[in-house]
Amino acid sequence: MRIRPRRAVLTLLALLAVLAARDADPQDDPPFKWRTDLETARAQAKTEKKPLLLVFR
Amino acid sequence: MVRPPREFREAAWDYVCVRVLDMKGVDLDLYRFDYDLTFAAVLMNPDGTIYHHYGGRDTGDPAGMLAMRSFAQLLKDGMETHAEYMKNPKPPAASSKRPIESLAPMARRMKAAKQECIHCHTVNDVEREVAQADGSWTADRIWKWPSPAQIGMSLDPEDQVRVTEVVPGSPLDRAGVKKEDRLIRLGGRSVRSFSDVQRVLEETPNHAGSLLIEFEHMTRAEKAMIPIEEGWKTGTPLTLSWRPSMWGLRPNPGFGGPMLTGEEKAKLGLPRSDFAIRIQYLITWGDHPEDGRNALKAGFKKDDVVLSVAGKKDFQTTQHFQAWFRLTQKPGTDAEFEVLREGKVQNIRMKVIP
Repeated sequence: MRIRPRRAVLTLLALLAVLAARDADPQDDPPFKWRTDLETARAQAKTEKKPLLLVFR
Repeated sequence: MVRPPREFREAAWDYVCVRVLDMKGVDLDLYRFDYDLTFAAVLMNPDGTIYHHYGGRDTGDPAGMLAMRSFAQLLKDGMETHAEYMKNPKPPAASSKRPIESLAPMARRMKAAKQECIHCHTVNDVEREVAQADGSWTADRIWKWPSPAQIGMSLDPEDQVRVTEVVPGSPLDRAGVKKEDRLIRLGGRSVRSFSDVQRVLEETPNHAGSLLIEFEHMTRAEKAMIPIEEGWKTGTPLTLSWRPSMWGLRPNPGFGGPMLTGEEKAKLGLPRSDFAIRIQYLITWGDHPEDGRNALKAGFKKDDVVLSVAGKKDFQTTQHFQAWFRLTQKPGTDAEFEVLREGKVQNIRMKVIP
């Protein structure tokens, strides 16, 4: 079978758009963010009166 | 980076979330958890008050107690704990920061070789070395973060306050707790997870006494005292075997290697269910090269297949064998091994060194 590059690219873009739409999540706006600096995060939690969730891996 | 599942993102929305991959700079007095874990979560107030823990494990499956449902539930419960705490906060007394690199054994390691990343389990090794140097080390300190199984309790991985089993005759059984009861508090502390129970057990002395348990039995709140015996935290070589900090204990055999697969055993004419490990390395490097030299002197060679030690061959894993050796063998005595080499079974006697 002959592969048509233009059609292949368009198909791929369409597929990516479908996947992105399926993955879209209004709850994730702004995107979920992991902090990596422990003391900065602690200071932020203090200011915002929020608890901290620390994950050690 | 893989995006966390929606169930988690929703539950974690009101938290400031931090991922810590390196223990460098982490205050060991403030952030206490089971350092042997490869995944540990701590829910806390920024003032240093710890609300809940998650991520604990038992001897079996490393992920046996990890479930998104129970983790998300704990995050929801943690928000209630936080709201309650904020009505009357009692911050712990401030202390000077104690990062791992301030401890002498870690400082020495860092001087000897550049440490790109300090793993969590290194904390246990370094704290043991500090205690051994200042004379405060006692053998029972290896029984860290005891599993609820030590008091006869099994919990549901998906709903970690639900008791799924009470071992007959165990301390929990004697307290009158039944299967399907639900945990409320232990030792006066609110417990919402397997790790929360472990935390209370960690803080309970290894001596005879009792531990208050508050639980729900058939929707009715009840209280009871769990009777605990002297040395109740003491586990078995198998319960110690999964912990990375086990490897730093002494004495050790001076060699290591993997268990043979069933196929490899069959090729050697060994029953598939038998214990057999192939010596992959002799420890002639690092802090204790004398261990490997001792094994070489006794006659061990790389690729030997160890079949038994002191007539014992019911080890489940190579780590089980290693933990057994460390817990049972006494320096100055001889350890007798049965070894398969080039198709012949040989006996090797090795002096156990401290």
